[in-house]
Amino acid sequence: MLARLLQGVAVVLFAASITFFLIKALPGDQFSERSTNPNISAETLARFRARSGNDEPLLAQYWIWISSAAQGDLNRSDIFNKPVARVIGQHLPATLQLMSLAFVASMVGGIALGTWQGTATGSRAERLSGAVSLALVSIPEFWLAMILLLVFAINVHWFPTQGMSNLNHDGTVVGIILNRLHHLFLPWLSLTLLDIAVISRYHRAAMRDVMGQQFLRTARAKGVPEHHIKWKHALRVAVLPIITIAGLYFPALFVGAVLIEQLFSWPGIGSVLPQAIASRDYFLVAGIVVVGSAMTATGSFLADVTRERLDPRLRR
Amino acid sequence: MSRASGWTRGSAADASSLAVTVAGTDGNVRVTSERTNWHRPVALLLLFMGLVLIAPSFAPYDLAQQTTVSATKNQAPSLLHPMGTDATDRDVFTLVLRGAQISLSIGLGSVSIALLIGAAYGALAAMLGGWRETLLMRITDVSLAVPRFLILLAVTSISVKAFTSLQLMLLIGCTGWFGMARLMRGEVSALLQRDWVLAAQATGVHRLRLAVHHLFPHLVPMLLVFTTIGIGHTIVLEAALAFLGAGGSGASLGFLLHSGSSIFASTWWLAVFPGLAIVLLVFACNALGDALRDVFSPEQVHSWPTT
Repeated sequence: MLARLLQGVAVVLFAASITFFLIKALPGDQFSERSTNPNISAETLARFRARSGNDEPLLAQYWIWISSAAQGDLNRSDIFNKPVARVIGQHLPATLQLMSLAFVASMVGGIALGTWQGTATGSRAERLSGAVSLALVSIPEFWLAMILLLVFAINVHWFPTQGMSNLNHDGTVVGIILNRLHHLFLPWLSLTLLDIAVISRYHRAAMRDVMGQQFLRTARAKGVPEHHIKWKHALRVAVLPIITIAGLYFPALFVGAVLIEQLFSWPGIGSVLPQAIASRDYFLVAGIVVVGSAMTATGSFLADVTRERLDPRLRR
Repeated sequence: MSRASGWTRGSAADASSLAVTVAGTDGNVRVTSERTNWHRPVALLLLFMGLVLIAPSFAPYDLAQQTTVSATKNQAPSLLHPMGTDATDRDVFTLVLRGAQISLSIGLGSVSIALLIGAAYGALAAMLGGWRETLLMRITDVSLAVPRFLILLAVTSISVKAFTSLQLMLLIGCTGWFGMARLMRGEVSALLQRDWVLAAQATGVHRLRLAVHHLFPHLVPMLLVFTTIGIGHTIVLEAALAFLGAGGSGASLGFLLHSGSSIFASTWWLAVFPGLAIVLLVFACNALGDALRDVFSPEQVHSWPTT
């Protein structure tokens, strides 16, 4: 367990280091944009560079960045003129809100759909749903989000086009929550629809594997009802690989959320990242990579722990 | 990812017969030939890709002839412009044809690079064995755990000069081979357990010849499946990068979506058609990958990479 934790830390460190060196290896720095500005002289730029430590040797810069990053200081963001950690801290909760709701829904939906697909093999409905799943996993989530936005928010005005809230509520707690959910629905749906398809495709395969196993024949021979066999005995075994997949799926969900937030102006990391990219805010981009890697590592760590808990074969 | 024991069992039939039994969708057992059924999907895929790659030469309009101020800009789809025109008076259908060519070339190129590096690396690890195998595989394990998209995003977005399509291809390919390496090592070390390998070794076959002439033919199906699904995957990856404004300099399909994303509320065709083209390309790859996998290894559908 401790080794697993250390491995997670190593991965984050590795990702952060790669990002740092790749960024530094590329031509230009956070001041190159300003070199075209006639109001900023070359001397001022040089002073900027010296003050931000860009003239130091590469390894020294790396050490300063990585050691302060380890203490939670990710340097300053240029465009927000605030510490990167604070910018991320302000925007991460909105992203996590979207991600967690999408995660829960796609896990429950994907496992339910996959269990049914895996046991109803060959029926017409199952083949149709398999084809739909295959089509869905071929759709990039940001494009689905665009289409949903176009149809349900712009054309028929069922849902708001942007933000997390507006003043269209009565001020009560219930009203505020309903207003939030109303805003959340389309971004959530864009993520969830596709993720259900992905999870169900994995789970269907796992179910089909399990359905052929001996212990189910034993259960049937004992007279266990068929739906019990499918939804209790088989599901319990088939769901184990999905836990690992779920851990691996976390980073993809983060990226998906980031892409979709931009479209819906959801005030999460996705609303910050394009700006950071457009204005080459080095430390903010690097900070988001570090946070993303930490989430990835946490995801796979949690998946391992959960799996070890649930799978008696892995216990020692 | 489980060891690919099922596949090797499937190909164990090669000595005795070319047929494996497949449980048909109707519950009856039907017999398919293991080696003959893959030609049609592969031919279809190649035909489709060839068409996409040469399509821009037959495009109805010349993209170089654009005017910024024109009565024909931002036009809705019509008979003259089946997918409408964009803000600089260009025909969207022509743009989509060229975008699909760029997206597919990046997909093909990156996956080929990933395939070459990953297959060589994985096979090498399996054939070396011992602590060297463990070390090589540990490296891929750690690399696989790194969030690749974010790093690609950081790199492509921060470079002052936009990446050319070729550079992007190299970048995506060189960061995308770890999964392939892992899969390859599993397959090769399973093959190495087999008696005919021992027989070949006993006759004094050189290691390199063993790898190329004896092992490689068994790996072709797996490589084909990986390639088709990988291409679809890479197209989406590149589109996502370009959509965030961080792709290469080429006007790929993702770039078209990116440039259309700010004004798509009024000009829906700028968002709909490039996206549909992505879906079509990726769906073709996924469907063919699925079909190939069903033909090759009906027993172990999920131990190969899926979406």
